Amino acid sequence: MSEPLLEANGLGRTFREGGRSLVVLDGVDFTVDDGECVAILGRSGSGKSTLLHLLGGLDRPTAGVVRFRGRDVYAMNELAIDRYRNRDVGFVFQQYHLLPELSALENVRIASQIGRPRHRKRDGDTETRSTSPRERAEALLARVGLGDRLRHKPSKLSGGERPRVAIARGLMHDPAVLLADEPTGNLDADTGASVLELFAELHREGQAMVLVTHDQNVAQQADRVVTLVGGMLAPTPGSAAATV
Amino acid sequence: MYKLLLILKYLRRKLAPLFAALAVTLCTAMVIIVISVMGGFLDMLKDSAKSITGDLVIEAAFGLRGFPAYDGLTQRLETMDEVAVATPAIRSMGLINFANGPTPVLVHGIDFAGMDAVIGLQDRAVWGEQDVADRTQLIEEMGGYERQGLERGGEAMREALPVDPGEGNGVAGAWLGVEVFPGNYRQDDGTYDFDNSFVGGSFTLTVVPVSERGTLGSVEPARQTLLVRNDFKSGLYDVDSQTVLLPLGVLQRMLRMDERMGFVGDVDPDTGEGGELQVVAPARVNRVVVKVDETTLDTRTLEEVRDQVDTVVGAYFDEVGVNQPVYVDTWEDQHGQLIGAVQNEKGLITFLFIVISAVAVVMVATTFYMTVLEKTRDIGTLRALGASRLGIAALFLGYGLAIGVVGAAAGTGLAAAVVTYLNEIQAFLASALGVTGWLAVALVGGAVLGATLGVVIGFIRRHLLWWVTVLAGTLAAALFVPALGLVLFKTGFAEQLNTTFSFQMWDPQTYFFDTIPARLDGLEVGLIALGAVVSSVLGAVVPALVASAQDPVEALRYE
Repeated sequence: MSEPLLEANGLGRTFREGGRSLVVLDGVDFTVDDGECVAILGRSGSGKSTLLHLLGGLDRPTAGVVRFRGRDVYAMNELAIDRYRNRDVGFVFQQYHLLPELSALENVRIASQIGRPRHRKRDGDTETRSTSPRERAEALLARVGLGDRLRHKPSKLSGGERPRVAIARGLMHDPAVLLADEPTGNLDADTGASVLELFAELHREGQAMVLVTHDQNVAQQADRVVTLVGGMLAPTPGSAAATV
Repeated sequence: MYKLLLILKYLRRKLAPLFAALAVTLCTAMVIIVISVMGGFLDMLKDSAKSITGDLVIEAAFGLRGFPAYDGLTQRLETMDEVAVATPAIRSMGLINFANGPTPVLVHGIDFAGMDAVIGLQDRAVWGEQDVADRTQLIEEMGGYERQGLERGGEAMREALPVDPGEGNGVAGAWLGVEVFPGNYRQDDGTYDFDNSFVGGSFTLTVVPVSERGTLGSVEPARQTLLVRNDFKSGLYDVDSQTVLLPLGVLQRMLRMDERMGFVGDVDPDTGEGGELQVVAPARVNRVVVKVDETTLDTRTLEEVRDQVDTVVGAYFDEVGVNQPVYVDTWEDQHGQLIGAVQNEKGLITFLFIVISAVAVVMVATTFYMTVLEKTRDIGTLRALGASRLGIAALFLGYGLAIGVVGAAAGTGLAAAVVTYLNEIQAFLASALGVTGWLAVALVGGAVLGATLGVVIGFIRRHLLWWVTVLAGTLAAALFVPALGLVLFKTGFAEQLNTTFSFQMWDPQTYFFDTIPARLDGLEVGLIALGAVVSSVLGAVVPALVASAQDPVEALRYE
């Protein structure tokens, strides 16, 4: 059996505030394989975003481990974790978190300016290693349908265009896994559908991804769906791929 | 790379950093202007202080007892590579008597040519050759010097002005410090009204001789009438208000410091014959003024040269058997009290302004802290994209550096402009503030009044912008044009305005220099600008640390 791309074992996260402990995640076991799309379903406050942050190296677990290609992420030093976030995972946040001073192109490029670019060649991918970060950013924006919006600031982009810039930014480093937190949470039905189609297209091209959502439509796109209830994984009724 | 991109974006897009940069600009400009003015004041003071002292002074320890063999000493000193010129002199207390009573003065007996070579005396003369024609005309208008009983015309005046005035008309000539004669009236703008100049007039000088052994009272005070040949201005009030220069030989005779002859040996008391006429008391001076070779001062300090001159003087006196003690001072030693006070003042004021400049640091810190709060989510985003804590800290430190560089550059430019045109600004404030203020009030007042009316009428007529624009422009013109007319055609009114509303930041009558002394020193300016940049970076340290310590998850959730 091959090694999972991303793996969590006994993952726990407890917050302490005012002398009280709040258990947000408790003993979660979770895997994502290469090219797999996994949806994490759950109500608000069930720990979905916390799990995503832990998988992406943004937070620190209070119990358990996260392994990327077998390597314990949180056993690495801080610079290595920074590099992990920069190279191996891509984030798409619910609020998109585009930098307001930068244009769409600059927002996408900035990921490559923070770290060294490393583009994997994928099936059907026409880019080569010699592609410059600028060319790649332009290609990614063209890919998400924003080839004519390169110079636009986030404030000048529509509600449907901003998540596309965020997705392009998440893909800039050609990450091994894309971590998306409620990517359609703030969108109307039509715009949300077009964004979902973009995720589906990426998935078909072999992009591994974890989609955190409370939307069943989003979950249906996934190879596998896991449900978080009160910080613990629960079997997802009606899903053939409910096992983790 | 992302740091530079974001720094440039933050600089261009945000108003708050501009305020921080403005604070740095103003503080930088303030410190540079203060230091430049104080430094200029000090330089001018030092230059003035050298006017009588030269670079070095060899001075008799026992005042008017003086020392002999000064000609040999000056020759010996001039053989030194370090010495350009040396000239003997006497300094003594005296009393001068104009018509209004006796005034105490410091009398300097000098060799005019020698002193001119040491201190450029001719450059400090009020009546140079350029002024001779004007002065001659003035004298003629006043009825010439006939009122003094001295017939002098233009040509005679020209002859009266050489460096060494000699002894014209049987009367020794003297130069007076420009403030000695009370008729030289110093005007509001710092220039002198010489209408009642005493040049050409005579006065009486009284000095008290001291014997070679230092005894006082064995001889009567010496009194002599002297002719005023010129005024001189050193720029130092203490010098100009009490200094009288006259030929060395004249003062030597008055003080009985000239060479004294006598019969030595057995003299027949009945016939008075016998004995040998010899020098019984050699000529003496009580100081030798030295100009140090300029190239020497490129490699050595004045103190080092002083010590070397001291050694040569000691060796020479041992050689010729002179045992009067002397000491060698630099010009700074001579005027140490005054220069030290101004130097201390400069240091104190600089310190105070540096303390005030801490405001810039606080301003930058506050602005940056607010920026960090405002950018909390961006910090979270950057961390999620892989930026390290160090990278975030460097981003904000770089931002501080950029603001410091912009502020320091602008501040230096502002200060350079102000210092360069300080006297013009002073002249403007002192002479044209009233009219300028009047016109500005008319223009701005009209615009404000019109805009206010425009708001009211525009609100009622539902056409706000149009009414505000039209009424503001109309009323501004309506008030400005008559105000300008009043100023142009009622010159009395304009003068009254300028007299009533004037601001004089530098009163030339109070300070002794008629222009504000200011100079830009490259090293000082560079250090201040560097200090401003460092202050700005320091102001960014705490916010940068706060930013780098942000938890990325909390930062992303920050509202």
